Amino acid sequence: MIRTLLAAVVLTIAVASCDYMFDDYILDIPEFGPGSIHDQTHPLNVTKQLITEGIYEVKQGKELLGDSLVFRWNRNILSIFGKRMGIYSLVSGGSLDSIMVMQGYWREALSDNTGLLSLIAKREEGGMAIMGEEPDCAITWRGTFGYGGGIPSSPIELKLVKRFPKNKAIQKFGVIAHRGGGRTSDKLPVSENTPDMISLAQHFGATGIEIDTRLSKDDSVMIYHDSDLNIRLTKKGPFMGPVQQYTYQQLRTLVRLYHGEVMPTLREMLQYTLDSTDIRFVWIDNKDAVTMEKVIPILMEFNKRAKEIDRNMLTVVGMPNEKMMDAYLAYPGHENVPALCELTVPDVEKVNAWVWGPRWTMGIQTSEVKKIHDQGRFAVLWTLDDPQFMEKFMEEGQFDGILTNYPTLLSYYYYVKMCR
Amino acid sequence: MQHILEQNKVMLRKRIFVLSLPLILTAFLSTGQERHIKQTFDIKKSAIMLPKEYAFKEFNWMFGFSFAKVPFDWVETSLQAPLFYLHANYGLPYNIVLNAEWQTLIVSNQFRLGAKWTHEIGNFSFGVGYDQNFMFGKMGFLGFDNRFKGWTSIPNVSVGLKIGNVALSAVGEFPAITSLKRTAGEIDTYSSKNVFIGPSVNFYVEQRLYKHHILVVGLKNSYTKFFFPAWMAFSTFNRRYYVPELFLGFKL
Repeated sequence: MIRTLLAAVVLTIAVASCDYMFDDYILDIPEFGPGSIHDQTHPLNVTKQLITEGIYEVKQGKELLGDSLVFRWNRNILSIFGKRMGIYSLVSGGSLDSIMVMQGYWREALSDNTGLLSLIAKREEGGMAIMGEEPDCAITWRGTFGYGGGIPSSPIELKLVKRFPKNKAIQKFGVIAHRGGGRTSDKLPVSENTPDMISLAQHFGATGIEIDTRLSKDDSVMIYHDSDLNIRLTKKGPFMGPVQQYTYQQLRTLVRLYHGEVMPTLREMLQYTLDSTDIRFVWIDNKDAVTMEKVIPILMEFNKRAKEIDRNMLTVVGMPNEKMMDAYLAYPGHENVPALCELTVPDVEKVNAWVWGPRWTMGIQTSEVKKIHDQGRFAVLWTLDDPQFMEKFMEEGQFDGILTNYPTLLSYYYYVKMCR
Repeated sequence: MQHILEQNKVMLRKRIFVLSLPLILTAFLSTGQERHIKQTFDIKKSAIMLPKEYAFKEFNWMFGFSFAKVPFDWVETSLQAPLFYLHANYGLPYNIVLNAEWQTLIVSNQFRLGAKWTHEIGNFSFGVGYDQNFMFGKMGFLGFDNRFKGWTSIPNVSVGLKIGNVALSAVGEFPAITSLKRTAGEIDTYSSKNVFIGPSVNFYVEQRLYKHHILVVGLKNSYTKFFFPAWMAFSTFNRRYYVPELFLGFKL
């Protein structure tokens, strides 16, 4: 009798202890094939792009796009942000005679749904006016959307209702993208914590990023979140176990991240961010206290470089716990190292951190944020993904930035609030 | 490098051994069972998860523990803690049994009350039931100032089989969250949208432990978007994950 039950116990433990991944992290992003009308368009210059930015009312297509959308350009890609299921679209295109044509894909950030999207602004519905660079013209986009790789056929009509304020300075609120732009587990087309992800983050509306550091066996600062090499973040292979048991050379040659990328170093990530993006804020999240003394010199070097080339980019080192705080305080000259402290307000004061980074689960903490602001510091919340809480925190919180895995959704809430 | 490859080979060998061990044991025990001394004990009378016909006012209860493997994507840490269970059945007329259950992790709790109609055909039995579930939790430490409460409707079906002095049961559940309120600090959110979170199929083996005490071993398999003990992860993944749960119960 006991032996029968023992067999049942062992069997259930064996089944329950396995790592099951029934679903992989691959989501095919649909594309318009070659020869589409998009290929005949001429890219818009910055002035024309800015004319099309703003808040659009969705007249047709609400079942997918919701009630309103935000249009925002970044480096010749038009990002469209919505609220419903965190929908966003990345489209490109330009002018074709005096009509505007934009094509690309849409995706629900909070699910795996995706499809193609096509927009046209006819000559008499804003196309001509955009070409003439008329700053206050009315614009209506008409188009279609579809699901998966299917030809888009469901109608869309979008009407510009509000442009961004003319006196809009550089966006001050920080839309900070987690893991460089998002998580691998969110089925993005590139791996988290890579230069490719940072490039994508810009099109998601991010003005800042957070990246994670791990030390290799020979003290190279690598960018990787988990403590172990695993099938969540890397391609399946014979190499598992703590990142710290591998040298830099082994990690670079024997390991590939989930979508095939090489594991980057901190230096590579900062170099890419500085040279190839408009990202203004980099939060380095050290996973081990021993990394602090390796990270700080690199951080200071890149802050200095950014200043020299008049590039608005600040890199800060994060302190998620007391060990990290002690490591920071032990570093000679730490007073000059920009820091972000995730602990209490007294801890922020103790290390004289530039930024306080509380966890969103503690609420909006109005009095604490006010105290931080009175001291001339900034407050950035982490890591807020829930749409309902995100909307409320944007309405009622006084934070200077929010770290999220869904920068597209946060961008929507930010621009809608800005345009009120 | 060679050292690392050797280590990985050892880990793989251990996993293969653990996975093949139950197969070896089961093959051995299936002949071992034949040699068990016949008991006068009737498992059908004492089983608690088996969907059997209860006499009016018949009552039984058990306590237990379960250990769940929460998806790493949700919590991104190897945090594990056992859930404590109390389960009770009370017989009503017309083959209806009332069931009540309390599960707790201290910071996460669930009260469940329901009814099931059951029927036996020889050693085979089945049941159809409906449970209403109230869940709530509070966490005010380690960087959390959060509360949650919600209601879930759980229609369920179960089948059972008595083989000798072993009772085997399988239960299929189809839970839908009907309301959910969550709080972070002074910020509340509320949703009354019915959300079918995903089915679960649970298997139980019941057998006498000693005297008239029963040991229940179960494997609960949920393919779900939400798992109440992990509410504080505030997962936003709109897809289902497999959550296995090992259950050990004792009916004294």
